[in-house]
Amino acid sequence: MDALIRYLAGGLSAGALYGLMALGLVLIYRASEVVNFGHGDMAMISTFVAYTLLQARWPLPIALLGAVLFGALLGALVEGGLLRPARHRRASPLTLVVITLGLALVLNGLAGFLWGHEIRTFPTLVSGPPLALGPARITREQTFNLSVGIGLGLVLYGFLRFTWSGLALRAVIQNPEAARLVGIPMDRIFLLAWAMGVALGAIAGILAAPLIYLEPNAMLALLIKGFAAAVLGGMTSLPGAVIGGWLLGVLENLVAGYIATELKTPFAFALIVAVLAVRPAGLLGRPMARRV
Amino acid sequence: MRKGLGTLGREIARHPISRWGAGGGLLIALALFLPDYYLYILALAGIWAIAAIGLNVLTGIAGQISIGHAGFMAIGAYAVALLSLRLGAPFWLALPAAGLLNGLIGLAMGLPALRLSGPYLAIATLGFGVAVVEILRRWEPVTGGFMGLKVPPPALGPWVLKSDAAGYGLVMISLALLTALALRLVRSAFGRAWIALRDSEAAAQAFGISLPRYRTLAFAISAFYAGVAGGLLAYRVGRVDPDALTLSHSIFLVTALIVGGLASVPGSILGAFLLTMIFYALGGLGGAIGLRTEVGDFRNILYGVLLILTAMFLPGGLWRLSWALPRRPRLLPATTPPGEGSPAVPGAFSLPSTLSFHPLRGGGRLEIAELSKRFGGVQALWRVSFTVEPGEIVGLIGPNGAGKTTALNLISRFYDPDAGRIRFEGHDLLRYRPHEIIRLGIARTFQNVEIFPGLTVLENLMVGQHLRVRTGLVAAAIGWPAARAEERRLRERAEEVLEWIGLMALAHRPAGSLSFGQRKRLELGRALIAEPRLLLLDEPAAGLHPLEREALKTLLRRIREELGCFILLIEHDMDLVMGLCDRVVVLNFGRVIAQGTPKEIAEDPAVREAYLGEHPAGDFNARAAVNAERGRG
Repeated sequence: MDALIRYLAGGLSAGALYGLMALGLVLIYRASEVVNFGHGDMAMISTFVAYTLLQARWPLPIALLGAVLFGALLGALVEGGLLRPARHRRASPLTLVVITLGLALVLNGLAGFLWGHEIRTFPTLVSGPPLALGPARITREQTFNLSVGIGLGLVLYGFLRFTWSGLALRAVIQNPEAARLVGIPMDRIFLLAWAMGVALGAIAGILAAPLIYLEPNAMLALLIKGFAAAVLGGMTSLPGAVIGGWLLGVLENLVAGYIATELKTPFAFALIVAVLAVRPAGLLGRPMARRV
Repeated sequence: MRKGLGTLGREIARHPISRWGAGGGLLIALALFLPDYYLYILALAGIWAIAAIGLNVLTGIAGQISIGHAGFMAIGAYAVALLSLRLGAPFWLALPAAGLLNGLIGLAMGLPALRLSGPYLAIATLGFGVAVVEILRRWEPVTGGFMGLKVPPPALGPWVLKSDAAGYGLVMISLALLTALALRLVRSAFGRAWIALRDSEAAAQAFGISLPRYRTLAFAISAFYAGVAGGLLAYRVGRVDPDALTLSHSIFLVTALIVGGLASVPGSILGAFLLTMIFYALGGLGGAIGLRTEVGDFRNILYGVLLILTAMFLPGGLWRLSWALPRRPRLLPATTPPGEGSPAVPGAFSLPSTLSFHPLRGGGRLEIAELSKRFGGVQALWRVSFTVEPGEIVGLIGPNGAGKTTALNLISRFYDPDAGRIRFEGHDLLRYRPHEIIRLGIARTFQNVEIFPGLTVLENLMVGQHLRVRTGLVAAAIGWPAARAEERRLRERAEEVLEWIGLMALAHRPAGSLSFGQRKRLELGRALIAEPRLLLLDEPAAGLHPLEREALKTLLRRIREELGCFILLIEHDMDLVMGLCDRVVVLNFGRVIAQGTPKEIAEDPAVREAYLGEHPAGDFNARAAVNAERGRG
């Protein structure tokens, strides 16, 4: 019984990170119609920035904030500096995806150059005795990750719901043509979506880093699980991404706990294919109307 | 005489046999003169070229990207290793078996991911590649875990192909074989279907191409190529381990494809050879100056930069730089400029004889009953009912946003209605999928002219005959005589229709280079060559000159009379509608507000209201003229 609670708690806290990753991916995909295959490497390099700032003895909150801002800037730079010019050259969706792949390669190589390939430990952000939940114990880190996930989800909801930029972003997501016609500055909204999306990825990376080790390929598993969570939620739905993350986290923890730990990544892949086969619109996504 | 010899020489040089001969000679010469190490590298380059050709079928031709093809290569490599270790299978059995196994996995995985449009295949394959590595690492009893497996060298009877030259020979023969198959396939009905789907999913399906079937097939073929490449790699390297083929190798393949030239078989080979050379040149350089680990990172940065730069600035890849070479043999030299001045409606007086007449069947009618469709907050159609009787030309009119095109798209089955029935000649259309509609005898054109820009003009018309294609995949790939005969028949019919629509001089130009009027003609020709009994036309007169509109009117009448084909058309040009249609259906805000003969419609108060809004005193015909004027702009 307490094993089950432990799996659930661990699943929910890991799932919160998958959800953050998925939120960034879906936000970028919905706004700019680009699937960002560089998302994992962008999160990785932002986490390395946090690591370096901490090494330079910056205070923890400022180092983390700096790294997240770096992520936002990186996202904006990729959109404004690469994808926007490509779009203006009438690049196909395939070309845009290929550009994000190229970016993944460049960032990966850059991280290898700057930080090397040896495995580094990332300091834990919170410490303290574990909390007791019935017979089971839950680490502070797990509660922290889960609350950050929920908190950021709420902040994003508030932003989309109550600010002008949020409204404009939702308009672009729902109907790009109409949004353009009523004078919403599309370029700026794309920039915003990319900055926010990559910043969310950076946060997921920083939270995940203490649990895994940090090296240039460290975030690959996180990326795939982010994608699995996004597909589970429907690839088009922001709440779906968060819920998909939790569900994936819990399911994979159950699989790992009761079947085999090694199967976590294959399980994420199997889940993607299963969702596409059975319910392609995911849990909360709406079936996309084809434009003819 | 000298001139004759020159022509003969040129013809010999152009003949495929001489080209293959020259290529083969070059490869043999290389084998004789190059040191073993270079032969080893060339063999590896050839292996990557095979995988790249396969991926090109999927990404370049069918327009879907995979970021996990190294996973298929890994499965191929392990399959070959296990087949030779456990069963002692010879290479000529193990390699195709590895390919076929991958093809099956591709079918199983591609079907769910490729049924959908968008990024799903890329996401699924990314997960696939990583999952394969994990499974290979952990499934120790079979795969040998991290240590991997040793692979015995391939043997042909008593000869063991162990030397670098023999390995090189095996790879190059496989490469030549698989290149030839891919080239044939890309130019067959399968290649046309893939490109059609890539360029316009809607139009491709409307002409009978099943999206899930063809996309999944392309994926399975690319997996087959990757499997054979992986198997060859296992033989060449002599062992397999889980980290030999990972995500970075999948991205390496995509890079080779994009840098070499998307959608071009020689481009894929060029890209694979070039990148493999760069890989080993950098490796050698790094080893020489003592920077072993940094080389890997530098490679990644270089490949990434190459990938981004080609994608942005040279979408056709390096192969495009060979523009000077003739890309396809042209049957007719297009010396005359592409007939900009010729009318957008065929001017010939009789329809091409190749199109056959359907007697107007008594029972055949299109019947739409109580059809409703909602998009979010917009009720696009509300309980719409009308019919098209055999032999009729029916006009569907209404202000912008009235739901006309939605009605057509429901008939084409691109959308599912929320309620209502659509029947054609006794068939319940709602039980059919978009690509099955044409089989019932319904062809269409599109409001924004959906031709296939990546195919030639002639090939567009061959896609229009997709229903007549009987050739199977294998017959198409090996160029079976029956397959060639079928191609010839399709081409001849297409040429006859081309002649008639006045685009013969442009037969071998990419359709994307046509002017607007020419595109409209091509689209109409493509619908007619399918020999439909019901033709759905979405604004056929939009953008046409008044004289062309007159010609169009005559043409549509002839189509009805000479082909026995009845027509449902959406049109804003009231002159055309009033002069041509037997009956008119008027939609406004998704509802039928009137239907009847043109005369009845012109006098209907509700129609006047809808068209004239607040000016009930205005003259309907005057307003119609204004509308017609707008339609032209």
